[in-house]
Amino acid sequence: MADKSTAGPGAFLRGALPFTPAGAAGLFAAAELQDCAAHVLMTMAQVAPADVASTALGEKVNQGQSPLALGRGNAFERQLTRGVPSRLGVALGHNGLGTDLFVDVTRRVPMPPSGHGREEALRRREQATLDVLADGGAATVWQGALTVTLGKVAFRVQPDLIIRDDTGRLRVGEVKSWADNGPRTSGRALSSALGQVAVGDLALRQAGHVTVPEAVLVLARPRSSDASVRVQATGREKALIDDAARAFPQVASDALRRLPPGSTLDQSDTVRALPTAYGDLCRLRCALADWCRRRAVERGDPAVLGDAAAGDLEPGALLRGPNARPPLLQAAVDAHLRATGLTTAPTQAAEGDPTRA
Amino acid sequence: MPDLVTAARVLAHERQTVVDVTTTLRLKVAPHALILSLAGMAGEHDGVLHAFTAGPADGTRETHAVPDPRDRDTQAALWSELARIVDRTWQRALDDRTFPQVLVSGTAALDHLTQVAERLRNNTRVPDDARLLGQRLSYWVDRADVPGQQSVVVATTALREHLVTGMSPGEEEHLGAFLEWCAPGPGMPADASLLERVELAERHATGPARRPEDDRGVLVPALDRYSLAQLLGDPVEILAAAEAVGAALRPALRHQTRLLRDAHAVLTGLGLPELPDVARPDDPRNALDRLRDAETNAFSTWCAYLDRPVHPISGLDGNVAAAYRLARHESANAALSAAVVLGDPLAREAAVLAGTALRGRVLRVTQRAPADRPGAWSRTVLQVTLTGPGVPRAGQTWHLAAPGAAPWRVDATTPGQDGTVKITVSRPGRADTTGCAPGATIDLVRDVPDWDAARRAAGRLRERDAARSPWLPARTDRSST
Repeated sequence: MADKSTAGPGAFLRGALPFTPAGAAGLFAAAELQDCAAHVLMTMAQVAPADVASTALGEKVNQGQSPLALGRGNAFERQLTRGVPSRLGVALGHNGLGTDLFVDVTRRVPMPPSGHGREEALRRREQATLDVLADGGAATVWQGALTVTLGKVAFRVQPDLIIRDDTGRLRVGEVKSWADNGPRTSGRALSSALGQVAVGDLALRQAGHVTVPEAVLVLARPRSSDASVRVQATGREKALIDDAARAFPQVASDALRRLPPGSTLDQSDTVRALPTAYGDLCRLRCALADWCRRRAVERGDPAVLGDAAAGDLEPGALLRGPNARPPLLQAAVDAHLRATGLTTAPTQAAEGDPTRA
Repeated sequence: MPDLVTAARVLAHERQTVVDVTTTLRLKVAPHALILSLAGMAGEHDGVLHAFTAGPADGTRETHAVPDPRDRDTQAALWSELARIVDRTWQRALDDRTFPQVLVSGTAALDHLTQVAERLRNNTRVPDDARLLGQRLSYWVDRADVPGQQSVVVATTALREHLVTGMSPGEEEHLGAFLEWCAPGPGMPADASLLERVELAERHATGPARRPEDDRGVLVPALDRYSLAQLLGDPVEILAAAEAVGAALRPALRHQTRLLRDAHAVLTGLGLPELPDVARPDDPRNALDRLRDAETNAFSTWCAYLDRPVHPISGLDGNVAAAYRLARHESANAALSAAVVLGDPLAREAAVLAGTALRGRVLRVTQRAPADRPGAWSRTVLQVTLTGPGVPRAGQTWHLAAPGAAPWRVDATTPGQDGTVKITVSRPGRADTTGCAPGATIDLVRDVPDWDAARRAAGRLRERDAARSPWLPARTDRSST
């Protein structure tokens, strides 16, 4: 439950919106959408895009996970960590990642049942995590807490696993209850999980630790109750989140300068004044996607045709209409019409049968 | 320069309707194709099936649901129902000496079928009919990867192969949104704009995943009621709760099935000529006939394979099988691509723009007759003005994109004045310059389809499968649990 009273550098922008800091998944989504000043500013102000969409823009937002998926995820984690040796320990050991010391931070610092005291519990969990990591020697920290700082804004992230090997180097891991289907495993889901790991990795580096740029992904093994462990490089995801850490403060400052004093993100005018950058990823990552698509259509932004098409067309190309297409686009349209046996004259194309090309 | 698909997207955006991205039909959807709508369960993997609607597009469809698919017995009952319907499709294909065709909503539905197939096909702990279902689904899953295949119609992919919208490719993966570009769906407000209709369509899941809010609002309470009823052991309440779960699942299945029927109607009503086989004008079969023949051949080979006493279907390919599979894919892709560039004017235009096909206006033709001895080559010098970015290079083989598609080896390319190019080509025997008269526009393509190579590659893969050492009990020895 978000705590409305929690302050922070972005508190003045929140207005009536609840304090909802992004977790690792939200931060990585923001890193992927870092061309969008609106998304970056929402992230830095620590408000949820879904709240902005519904409150400021009156959008009907349907987001979140199914309770069935959440229940399955929790059950999978319980299943992995139950017993000695646990399935998780065995699976990690088979991949050369086993350690003698396994610290379950959630047992050391239980989360209070209500939202009240959550921040304090997370702070204590972070302290417990850092204490274990400071001790030296190989150890596995289960569901610890860390802080990642972008500019002056601190975000608490909770990586499922932090594994320190004998040499003191750290790897971050994520546990996902979806199946490891080998090469057919969803690349998008994998990238998102790797992104969460990259955020945890950044938090560790900011805390002065030496990390290995590899993610430990613990997935469900198909037709089995065991875990499947993957160790994958996080090169792209690490680069993205590092870029974001450098760029976010400047992007947010630039966006703020466009707003009149006293603007808050619960106001429609504020959100409308912010630059957006609609793209292919928006529908997967942002609750403002419908609104942004409408805006992009109104502006003739070729991004509505997809990132690939947008790369070939100049901004506003769709506003000019069939009689004033840019020359290169006109040549391609002519070639298309020629091949389909229709007219090559753009005026005739505009007046042609609207139901069939 | 924008490619032709981008141009088509711009046209679709301007006209607010779909635009063709092909001028020939690449996929023939049967009137009786099996329509299959699936509903999974959020968070569950391994192809857990909560409900489905299945039946021929031109016949009656059945809907079946189970209260809790995590229960192995009820899940097995659902597999049996699906096995029975798939068996009817299979038998009809055998009777008609053709191949079974299934229509699913999108790649997510195909992934779900893949998981069901992998879970069941070699599983000795499930009933025989479920295992047979897994093996039959494996046929579809295996074929789905082959370029030009005709057995598995993934609705969004098949639509995108022929039509394009003014949306992004990612947005086109939503079947409901795509179909709104074709025609307004039932229940859409009459005064709604296309974009508003697309947004309304996107609020419905197209399966097999359900929307989280639907789970929260209806399904989870019904499942909780069912769990409680089971705990209490009240048979009347168990039945009522099971019915409530089914009622929670049916609206989404009905919607998915309606979309699939609409997609079937669009795909069967495209009105495009079938992809011709330009390279073989003497053969009455066109390229689509050849693809369908390949499909029938693959199906009969698979059935023969399933009839063997031992027929392991590996979960993961070994190195050799993987290489054969890749070769099958590449051969099929090469044959299809060549046929498409030769036979589809729009694809040819795109190839010319991309420089992978040549287009030129012939200015002058000079022929040199071959020497008077067997096997001698004739030489022709074409002076042309090339209109695309592609340039022929010595040593390459190009085919004149005309019936018969005569191959020419390029001996030399000499740039001339005023942007003209002299291309010296040779071929065995007498020179044939039909269609290359001065003033004519000629297209040259690199490849012609080699349908036999694709068939040989598929055969090698099947032989490899058959040669694997058996690791399953013979089919007749298997017992159900």
